[in-house]
Amino acid sequence: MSPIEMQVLVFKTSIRRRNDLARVAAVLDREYAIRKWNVDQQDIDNILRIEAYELSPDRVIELMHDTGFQCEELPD
Amino acid sequence: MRTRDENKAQAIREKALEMIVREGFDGLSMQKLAKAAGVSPATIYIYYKDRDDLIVQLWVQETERMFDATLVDFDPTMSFEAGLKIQWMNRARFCIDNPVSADFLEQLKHSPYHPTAMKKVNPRFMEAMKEFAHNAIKRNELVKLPLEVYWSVAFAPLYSLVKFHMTGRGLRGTEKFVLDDKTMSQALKLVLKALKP
Repeated sequence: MSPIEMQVLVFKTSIRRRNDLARVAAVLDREYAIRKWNVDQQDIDNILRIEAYELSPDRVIELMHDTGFQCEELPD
Repeated sequence: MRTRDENKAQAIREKALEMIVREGFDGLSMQKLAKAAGVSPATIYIYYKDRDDLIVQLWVQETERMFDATLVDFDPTMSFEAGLKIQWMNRARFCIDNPVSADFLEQLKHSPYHPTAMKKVNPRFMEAMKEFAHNAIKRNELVKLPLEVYWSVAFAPLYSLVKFHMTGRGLRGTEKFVLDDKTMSQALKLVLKALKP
């Protein structure tokens, strides 16, 4: 029996400002599938990185769009 | 589903080390690193949370490699002279064989990353070093000193000689310099003398 594998999802976003993070947190912290997330605001693409069990990238994109941010999955 | 690929991970680590040593911590960006390593930025984020996480993880990994190399044939119950000699040989070999790692380790040691990174290192090496010094003090082979004074006398002369060896030139910049066994023994003898109670 194999445990559910953890995924890392990576998105390019427009989460640029420091106070954007609180808005993102309000949404992502409620998603039970997400184990950890962070935004690398030092990066030019403001990378949103998510460690999750069984979470579809489309769900994240939808959540971010609803919160008012651009969000696009980065290809591997 | 993103999968881990050891070849890509290795390329990321190697290029990151080179980039940091050449351009400093600020010279490293995930985008530049992705290009240099021939991977997409997303691949780097599979392994690392952000730039700081990458720097700290790299240091921990290179430090562990250096620690393992330093402990080869070493035993903390050895006499001070024998133990220090083995450590000099091991430390010199590691620096000469891994010049990029050695530069990177030194660079981080004097940066704000050091306290965070140190907490993530396996304490086995520090404990062995501590035991070795305490044994030597008990046997009256080593004078009791503040840690930084001890380290600066016991190891800094070696690292200085290793640097001359790696550039291949001596202090005047024109003559050849090679750190051979004879030169190393000469310096080690003086260090032992200085540290004797």
